[in-house]
Amino acid sequence: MSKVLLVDDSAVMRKIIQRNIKETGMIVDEFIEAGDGKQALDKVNDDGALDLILLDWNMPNMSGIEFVKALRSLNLPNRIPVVMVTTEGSETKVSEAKESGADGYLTKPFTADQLRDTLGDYLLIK
Amino acid sequence: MTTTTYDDVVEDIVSSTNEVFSTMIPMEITSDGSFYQKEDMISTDVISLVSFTGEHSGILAIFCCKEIALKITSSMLGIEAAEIDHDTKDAMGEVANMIAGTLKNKIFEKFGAMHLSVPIVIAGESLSIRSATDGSNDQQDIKITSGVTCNSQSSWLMTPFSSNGSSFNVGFVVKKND
Repeated sequence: MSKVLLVDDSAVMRKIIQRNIKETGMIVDEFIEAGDGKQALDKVNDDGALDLILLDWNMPNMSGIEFVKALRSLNLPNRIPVVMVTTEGSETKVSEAKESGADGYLTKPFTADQLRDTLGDYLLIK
Repeated sequence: MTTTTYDDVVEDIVSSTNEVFSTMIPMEITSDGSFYQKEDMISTDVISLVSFTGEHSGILAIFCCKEIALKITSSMLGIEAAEIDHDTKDAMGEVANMIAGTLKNKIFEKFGAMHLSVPIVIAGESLSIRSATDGSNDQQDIKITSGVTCNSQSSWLMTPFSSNGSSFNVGFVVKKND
């Protein structure tokens, strides 16, 4: 049972990511959605049994980078992998995200191959 | 504020826009040169913009008619979008966001590090933008103050794109902060 939390202030982008994950043959049983970092923290507190978090950077209320710092400070017993999916693609931003606790990084726009290559470490592929 | 020339950004705008469409939006587009347009001459149905701040401040915006906004939304979501609604505004915001994000990385050496705002989308009919309302006008005026204060002296670098008879412009304006 694989469960993925999608965090992006764009509902359209959340739909596109879900569709692309399904089309590339990666197995996800349940998608949970959040529109900003604060909502995402609530979802983690409600259900910590997440297999992966896909996280936008620029969002209102709480940004992706603020969320990942807050998530890592919770010291959860099971470390949930976090992959940033964002338009922020500079080396500085990638380094900042990884130093803050993100595990992977995918820059929007992305191809199906790039999505599969990045998420393939965390999700099973049919 | 000092005005900066940015003719050499056209190629980056074209490649950034092509990159976004070729990967995320299954829609053929063709670019067709570029031109400068005074902002008080802009009239459009949908404006989707992202502002930049940093050593330079600027705005990247998509200007388009209702039909092409619906076409882009339909292509992105794989649905038949019939009216400008929340999904259309969300989709157009994401398109501007992705083009701006891609462009930012390409123009880093020229303009330095820049922070992107979250996208803003405005939809209506015959929208125009300018800094002051100085008289009656049939158009609806919108004042944009994020990043660059727009005024009637500002010219936007417009890069037009077309797709099956419909067209849209990707506009760009930038100024160096003193």
